[in-house]
Amino acid sequence: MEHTELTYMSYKDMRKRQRTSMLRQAEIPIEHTVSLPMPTKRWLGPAYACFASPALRRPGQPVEQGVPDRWWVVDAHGGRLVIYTLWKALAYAPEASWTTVTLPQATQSIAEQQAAVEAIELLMEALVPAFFADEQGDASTRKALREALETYIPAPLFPQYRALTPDFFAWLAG
Amino acid sequence: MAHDFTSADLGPEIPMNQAEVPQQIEYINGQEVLVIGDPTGYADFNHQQGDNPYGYTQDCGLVSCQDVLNQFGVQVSETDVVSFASQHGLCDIAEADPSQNGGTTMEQQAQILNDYGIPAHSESSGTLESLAVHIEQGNGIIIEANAGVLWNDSRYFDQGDPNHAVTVTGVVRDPASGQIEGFYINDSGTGESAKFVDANTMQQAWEDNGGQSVVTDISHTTYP
Repeated sequence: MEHTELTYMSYKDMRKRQRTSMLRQAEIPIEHTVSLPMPTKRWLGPAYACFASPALRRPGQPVEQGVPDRWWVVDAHGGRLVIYTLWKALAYAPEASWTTVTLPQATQSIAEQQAAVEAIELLMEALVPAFFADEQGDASTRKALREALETYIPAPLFPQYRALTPDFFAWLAG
Repeated sequence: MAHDFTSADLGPEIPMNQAEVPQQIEYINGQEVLVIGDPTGYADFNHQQGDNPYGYTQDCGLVSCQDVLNQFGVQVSETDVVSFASQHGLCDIAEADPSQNGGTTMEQQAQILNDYGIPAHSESSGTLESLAVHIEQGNGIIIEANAGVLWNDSRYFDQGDPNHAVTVTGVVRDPASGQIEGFYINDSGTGESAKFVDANTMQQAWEDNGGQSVVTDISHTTYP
């Protein structure tokens, strides 16, 4: 009997789908900030988890980002929705006591931020199959992705990311 | 041989509303351009968002709905639309801090327009050309754009995701080639009305991040 190997959606496709999915169109206010999809195996196998938070953007002023008020998980193979829930119904980190944060001044231009996201996409592509397969992956690539995420994600939001997919961050640090 | 005379004998049909949408020659940076739509006429329908007694400031989608409704002669204020949306579950009111309330999804924006009697639907994967066609057909349009690109401020970039709703009130074409040079928008985030956005910026702010919009099913030119 032939064995069919499951393939994963590319990280870039996952992000693209996230922007235009029915979930985005029907459930998540356009004004909300949506996190980067983060790999995880916490929910029924290989998947990507995201959260969204209200964000106040006033021209010329720093962004004020509220606490995550919803989160969801999509299957890493075909993008099928595994779970979507409001924080008040089911918190992904019930012990968290986050508050609205004022994000630090961005030090990167838009072009530099785009380049940073593209670099993260490439590193995710290279590493995520190993994470999903319970393999170590390349140590230097893991370190590069960890540093890229720490540089790109504003420091006040890092605990929210870490709590969303603790298994992935533990693997990255391993 | 004789045959029945049909409308096909008249040649290609030109939609009446397309011919009635305002068109005029203007100059942008010294360049002659053709402006289609009514950015000047619709400029008065925009204002800085957050002008409501509920303290909601996350309401660019609601203010954009108000803008489109005003374009079609529906006399509503931001407060009217915020109140309606809050009472009917058509905006986010779950946040403890009122300033973080008022957010809307595309589906909610379309529903609000429908509920006020202006049929509308949401679209994805739009292009600059399809956006221009909507303007040329006289449709009211809300686009879900990226505020960082629109405002040229990386603080609001959010990985390039759509995070800000604005209305599009005109398209600018090269009169000779027909090439799209840009669009006019009403932006309640900055309060700027009839703001010109060049095609490259619109491409990056809107088309590249999914080209999502809410479009009325009726034309300004045919609505009573």
